[in-house]
Amino acid sequence: MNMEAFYFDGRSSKRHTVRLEATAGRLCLHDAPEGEQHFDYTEVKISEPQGRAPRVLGFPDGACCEVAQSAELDALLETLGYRESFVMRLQGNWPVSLFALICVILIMAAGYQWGLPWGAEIAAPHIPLKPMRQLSDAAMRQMDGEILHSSKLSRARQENLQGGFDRLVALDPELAAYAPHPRLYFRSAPDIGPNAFAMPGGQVVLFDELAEELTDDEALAVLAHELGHLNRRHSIRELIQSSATGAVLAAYFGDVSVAVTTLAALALNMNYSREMELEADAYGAVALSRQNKSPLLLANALEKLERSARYVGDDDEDEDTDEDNSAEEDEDESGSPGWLSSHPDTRERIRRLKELSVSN
Amino acid sequence: MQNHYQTLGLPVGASLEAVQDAYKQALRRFLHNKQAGTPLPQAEFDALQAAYDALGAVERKAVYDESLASPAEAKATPPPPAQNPAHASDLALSALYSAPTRSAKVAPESADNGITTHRFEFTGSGGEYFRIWIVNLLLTILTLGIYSAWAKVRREQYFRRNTLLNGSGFDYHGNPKAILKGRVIAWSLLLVLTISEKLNPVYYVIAILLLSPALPWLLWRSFRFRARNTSWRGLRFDFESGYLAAFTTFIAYGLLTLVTLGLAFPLQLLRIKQFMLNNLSFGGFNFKTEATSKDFYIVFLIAVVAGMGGFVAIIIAGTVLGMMLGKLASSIVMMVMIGILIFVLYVLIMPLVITYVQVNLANRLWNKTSLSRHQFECDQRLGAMFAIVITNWLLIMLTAGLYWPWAKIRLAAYRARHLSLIAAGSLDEFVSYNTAEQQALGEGFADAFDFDIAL
Repeated sequence: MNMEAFYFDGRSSKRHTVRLEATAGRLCLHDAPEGEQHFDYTEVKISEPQGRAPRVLGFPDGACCEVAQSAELDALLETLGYRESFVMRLQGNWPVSLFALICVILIMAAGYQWGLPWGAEIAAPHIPLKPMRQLSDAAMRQMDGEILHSSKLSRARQENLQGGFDRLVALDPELAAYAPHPRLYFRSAPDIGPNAFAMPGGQVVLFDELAEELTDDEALAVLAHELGHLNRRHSIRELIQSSATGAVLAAYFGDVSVAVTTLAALALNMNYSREMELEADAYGAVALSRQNKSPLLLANALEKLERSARYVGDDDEDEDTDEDNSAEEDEDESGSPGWLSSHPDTRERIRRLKELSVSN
Repeated sequence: MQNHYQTLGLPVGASLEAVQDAYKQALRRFLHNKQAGTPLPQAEFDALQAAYDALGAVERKAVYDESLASPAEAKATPPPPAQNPAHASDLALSALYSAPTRSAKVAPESADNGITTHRFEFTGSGGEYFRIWIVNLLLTILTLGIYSAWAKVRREQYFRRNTLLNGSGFDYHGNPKAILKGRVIAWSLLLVLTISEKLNPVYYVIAILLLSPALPWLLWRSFRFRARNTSWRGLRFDFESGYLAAFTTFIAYGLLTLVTLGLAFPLQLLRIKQFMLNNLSFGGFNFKTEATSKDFYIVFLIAVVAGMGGFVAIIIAGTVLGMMLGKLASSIVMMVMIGILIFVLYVLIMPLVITYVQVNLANRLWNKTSLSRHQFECDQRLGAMFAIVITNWLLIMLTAGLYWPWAKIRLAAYRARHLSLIAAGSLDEFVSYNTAEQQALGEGFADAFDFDIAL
């Protein structure tokens, strides 16, 4: 085993040509500037193979050899006693790398499907609500100036709904202890249509347009659903999940385009709301039965709203409510599939609510 | 016999800048003649090199100017002192004078001794890097991020070692533990910032004010870590700077950029590049860039004007088309038209302008950068680079990001292959002064005080 290499003494950039000879466990440098040199295998720092890049053999005195990558070199290093590291064997192999790719995809998918919601659910109760209140107040002020107008509902209806809302809150010990106490706001928004939403700071907003289409009991059923979002801290969980997804996507696509990241995060996160929506429905059903009312009230409300074909969702907690709603409105009118919509198929929700009422 | 100033066509006592300028122009003349097949006489080249050896740096120029002033030693090249590698100061002196002795005598390996253009080579391949990337990613996930430091070392090694100059590869020696430490620090700072921003704007401002003095220090240490862990032909690069220079570059000029609403940005960018290059050294010689703020401002000015021109052109074209089609078709067609316009604007014009800036800044910067007597030359082309950028972008989108490693390799290959070193003489002259010091302090020192924050 004998081959040519470039030798650098570690003190100058001058290049010397030497011959390498390997016997078991020993490396010999012939024609080195300081004469023949011998090294024990353990003294030689052998660089990892990196494609076609020259290999580097480092010596204890700071000198090094640079050798072109070749089959002969591999044979020489093997004679010397060198074995490739585990990671290098993984990286050198296409099937293994493709297996690694599949593992990464599966881990990512599992993390997204189960890990992230699980983590968010655990973290959500520990997020302080006070800054949420400030955030929600700011969002409320912004909307009040632009898209929300004061309510024109009769005083009698407002008082009735307020009473029902207070009872819903009082009957749920968790909500009664919700730090910024949940409050009901009546607003009118002809541009948006029938809607109701809850914000993480505890504000629940009911639109005149929604109340006008429903009986008081049905409107209360919708409010119970919204309180379900608050009880389960959906908006906070959503916030945690979207920031985490956003961070991962930004790290992955970071160099490509911010716009893509934002869009992707948005499209992916629609999925969460579906499950949360069903959770809130289930909560609403329980809250209604606690007041000896039927979960069917919520199903009725959904049916009525669907019939009017302008029900466009009720849980937009963020400041960009107006944009989201108008986008969804377009989709609903054109009968788009439920996948991209932030609300699960209404019929599916009605079916589940009916099942719940039967089991009660 | 001419004195060295006359060789360069300069009056005696001309400034260092004039010397460097004249040397570079002469070097280009030699290169040009060589490429045209009519090389100038070797003796002239040797005289030029001798002139640069005597005048190319402040200390040597002072010695030579003094010798010109005292008639007894006029025109005499100072004799090389005895070489005693045991003393660092003697080593430094020998480095100062080793070059004149070399060019005075006719060196045996004359093929490596004249003026030669060494193009940087790149031997990496997308498939190889993909395998490194995906295994790195998997191991990073399985170790909850801890492996990312080792992943960085493997990635840096792949890119460094596959970049070759004059047949020798660069190498990376970063210690993964130091990198891990740097990442922990960087992430903690980021976390503090993010949390304070969420809690209260006042806390956020306080956190920014507290952290901003630390930022230049972190950047400086991180540049030094990169330099000291990069080697070529067994010699490490080095990066020497003071805190004040880092603070001025990143904070003071950063504030200036803010106050001037971005007008000072090209200037700050130039200062950053100067900070990175002029403090970088290899084998006892400093990199030196002479790019000026004018160079940078021209690039940005053209980019802004061209970008706005493109924007206006698209709006006009869109309006004209819209008016022509508007009579025929409904508002949906108009919507689609506007969509396409925005698409073209973002997909083509923005990357085109950004690529223009990157290509021209790289060219202007490197073409005015030298290391010792050697000049860099950078000849990136906008068209070629834009083709790479846009196809990379499209393929990354189409493959949901899996093309990413190939994209990175293509960019690195193009950048390397369009950079060259115009070497005046041999590349053997670089010597290390601080090997002994580095070895004495050893790895433990690097562990305790050095870290790298990923930039």
